[in-house]
Amino acid sequence: MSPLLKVSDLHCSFDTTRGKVHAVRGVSFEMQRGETLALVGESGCGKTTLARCILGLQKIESGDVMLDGQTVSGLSRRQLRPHRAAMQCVFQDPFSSLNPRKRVETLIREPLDLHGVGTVAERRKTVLELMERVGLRPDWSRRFPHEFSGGQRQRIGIARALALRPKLIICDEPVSALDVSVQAQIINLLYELQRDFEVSYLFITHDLTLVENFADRVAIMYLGQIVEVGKAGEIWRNPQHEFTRTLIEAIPVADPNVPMRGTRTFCDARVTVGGSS
Amino acid sequence: MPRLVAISRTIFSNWTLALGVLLLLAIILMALSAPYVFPGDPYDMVAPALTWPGTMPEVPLGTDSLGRDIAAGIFHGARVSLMVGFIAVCFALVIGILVGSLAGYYGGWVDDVLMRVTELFQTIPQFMLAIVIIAVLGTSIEAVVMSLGIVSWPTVARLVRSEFLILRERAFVHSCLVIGMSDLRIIFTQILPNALSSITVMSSVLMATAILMESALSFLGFGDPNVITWGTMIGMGRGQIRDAWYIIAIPGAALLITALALNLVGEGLNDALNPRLRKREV
Amino acid sequence: MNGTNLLDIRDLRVSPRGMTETAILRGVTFSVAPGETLAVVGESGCGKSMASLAVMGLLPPGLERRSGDILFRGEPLPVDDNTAMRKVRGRRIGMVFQEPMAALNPVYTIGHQVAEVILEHEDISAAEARLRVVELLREVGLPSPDRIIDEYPHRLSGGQRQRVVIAMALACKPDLLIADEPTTALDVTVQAQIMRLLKRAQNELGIAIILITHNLGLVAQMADRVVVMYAGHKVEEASVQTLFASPQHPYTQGLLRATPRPGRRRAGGKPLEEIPGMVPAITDPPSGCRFRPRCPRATRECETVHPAVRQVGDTIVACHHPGRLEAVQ
Ligand SMILES: Nc1ncnc2c1ncn2[C@@H]1O[C@H](COP(=O)(O)OP(=O)(O)O)[C@@H](O)[C@H]1O
Ligand SMILES: Nc1ncnc2c1ncn2[C@@H]1O[C@H](COP(=O)(O)OP(=O)(O)O)[C@@H](O)[C@H]1O
Ligand code: SF4
Ligand SMILES: [Mg+2]
Ligand SMILES: [Mg+2]
Repeated sequence: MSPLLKVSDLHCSFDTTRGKVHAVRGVSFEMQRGETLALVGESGCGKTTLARCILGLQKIESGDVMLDGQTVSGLSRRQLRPHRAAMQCVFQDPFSSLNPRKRVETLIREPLDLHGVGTVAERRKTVLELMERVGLRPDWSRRFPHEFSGGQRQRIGIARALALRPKLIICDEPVSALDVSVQAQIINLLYELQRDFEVSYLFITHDLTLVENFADRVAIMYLGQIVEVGKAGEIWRNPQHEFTRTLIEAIPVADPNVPMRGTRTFCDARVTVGGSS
Repeated sequence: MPRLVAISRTIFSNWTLALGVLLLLAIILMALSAPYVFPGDPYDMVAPALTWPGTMPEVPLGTDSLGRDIAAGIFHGARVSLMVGFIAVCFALVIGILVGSLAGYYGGWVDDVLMRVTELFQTIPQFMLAIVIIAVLGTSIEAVVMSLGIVSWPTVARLVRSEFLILRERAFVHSCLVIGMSDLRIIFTQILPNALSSITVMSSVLMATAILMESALSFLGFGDPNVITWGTMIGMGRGQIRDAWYIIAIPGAALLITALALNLVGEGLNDALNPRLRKREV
Repeated sequence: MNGTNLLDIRDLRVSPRGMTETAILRGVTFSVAPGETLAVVGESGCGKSMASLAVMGLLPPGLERRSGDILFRGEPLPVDDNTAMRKVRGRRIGMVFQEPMAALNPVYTIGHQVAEVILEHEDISAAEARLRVVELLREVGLPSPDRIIDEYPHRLSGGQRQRVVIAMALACKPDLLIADEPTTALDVTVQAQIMRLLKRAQNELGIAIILITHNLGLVAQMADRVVVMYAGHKVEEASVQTLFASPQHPYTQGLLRATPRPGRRRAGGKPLEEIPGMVPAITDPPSGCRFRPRCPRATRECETVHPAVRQVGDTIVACHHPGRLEAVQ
């Protein structure tokens, strides 16, 4: 059976006033069905750009994206439409990722309406079921996004992403804007939903500690490239790449008896990203 | 009905808006009742010329140098002013929103072309442009509306474009792309509603400007000679400014109040339409 | 308390202006000794920033200090007198915020802004000030300071900007530095460097630091003592060793358990421990203990009686049922 997602030698760059920014430089990886792959890297290393390339929101320079054995890169908007249902996204900023003028029920129903799933009554019912499933009270369905907290908004975003029953959800830093306790709630929710909905996650984050217990595999991204892929936990015990080691050392351990580490200044190399062309 | 209650509550919790709406309603009422209150032609002579306001009960606001009833002129003039302003703004909104949203959403060469055209219209002073258009089309009320619409749309286009430039980068637009929504649907059902509050605010100010500009055109004699407007009245009272200044002052005040009302509405809407501000009141 | 404290905050209460019922800080008391690092932790919206802004006399316009003394070296700080506070800000107490860009003016050069702080408090020439600025920028670890001094803020990376802000805060060698989530917006590798910088500044200048954060990892690495805040209350205070070894308040225990632990994979079940629910809105706090709706140990008593702050062993805690939870680790 073919992998669920196969990205081969993906390149993407931007023309800016300061020259060409090569944001994704030859990324290749595969994801199996039902798997959670964490993509970890510092800000500006190209995680979001990679996600946008896979979702077809960003023109790629070269390389292929295959979803479920079919090539989805280089397709026109119209050609891509039938594949949309299989691949959804949860965004980082819970405050800008929901249209402030739409009610929760509309936000969750929109994907169903667009793809003509079921009758109107069935869609209504699906929306309420989804709300219940992600931990929102169904009687909140007529409310607007601004009436919810950050964590609740992310639940709305998750319900919207799940509505079309996708095979893959790309989560772009879905908990970075949330408090630790709410972070845990959202990660646990995603974990539970994975079993019920048989969905795979490409989970993008800058926090390596977060994915240890959640992801099956971890890919470390640095300056537009994936420098290391390994089993979660394995990466911690035995980091291979110099950057991974720097990253792990920099993470403050929640134990006052462990002395402070993180002396290296590996990341200063990032300053050159804009300059190189 | 509960919606109506909610709307009126928003209006009256905000005194700027309340005052603006009340004034505007009064002016609209004047305009609507003009044919019933003053059934005759406002250009007819009804009383001795230059009757001062308050001296003859039949003509409470007095008469001008030809004995025409000023009150009748004010009422009928309100009809023209409001209608001209309203239609001109609608015209400007249709063109401005189309141009601005396409330019802002697509960017790139679409934006370049559309904005070049917009700038072309903006480099010519508005009033001059309006006079030129009327000169070409002839002095009819339709020409006045047309010219005011044409000079107003670039302002709308620029505002809409700048709103779209910001809004199209918001993650909710990406989220709509991801579920497969078409561009036109995103523009009109997702982004435009978010830009609507600033467009509404701007429209009321634009309408005030259009009404003032219409008066100025009429004052200079570029208006339709067959309909009476506040501007025409001011223009015709010019000669008596020393001995019968009320002939100018009364329509002048009517203009001022209308412009003020529209600006108050604009300002009030600015506060009321912002969903975040509204939430804080609760 | 004793007279050796650098900063004493006693029963600080802050409310939105004209709203007597709702409060953002409901009687917060803590102190900072010279040269120590005090961490203030809690979820967002618990009042950590407002407490520090109250100390600086910089509460946002809609808020007011209802009661509470703020003593600096035993003397009341004139927090309501803006002119008097200007002599304190920068000179005696420095401040670093989460968003460095908010603290920098985009239209002036780095050098101009740092020098301005020095010239505000010291009577030296512009040329001398410039030399001091170059030296400062070098000390906070910025590469080629004599070049960066003439740069504008937007040309620097987030980490470099935060170093500039720290340079401004340290420019007049204050006694106390308040750092409000200084690294929340930065990458972990940059965070490690900034923390190292703060530690070094503390050792060299002997300043005390109030580190406001929600990252318990940072607390463990940096702090001497910890104050845990929840919904405008101080719920627990202890030395960092005591707090991590035997947290007393259920909220502290929840926070510790929700913090992902690197290199320690959980056996099964959910990936992370969560605290159910969320911080209550300030307009609608629960009766009794504010943490009650989220607390696994809540009883009848918690519903009616607000728990007073008391001493339990080495810990100060506000809870009716404090104590070790078996499976914290
Ligand atoms: N639209 C864009 N135009 C120009 N440069 C961009 C654009 N989007 C991203 N970049 C650049 O690409 C690089 C990667 O960005 P991004 O993918 O957002 O990183 P991450 O999500 O890992 O923080 C950065 O250097 C960023 O400045
Ligand atoms: N200007 C303000 N007016 C009213 N409430 C405010 C204002 N600023 C902050 N608050 C409220 O004060 C509480 C504490 O805020 P803050 O001190 O910023 O929390 P923290 O720093 O712990 O995240 C929050 O509930 C917030 O909603
Ligand atoms: S007082 Fe009661 S409700 Fe509050 S934290 Fe303690 S046990 Fe929980
Ligand atoms: Mg990103
Ligand atoms: Mg804060």
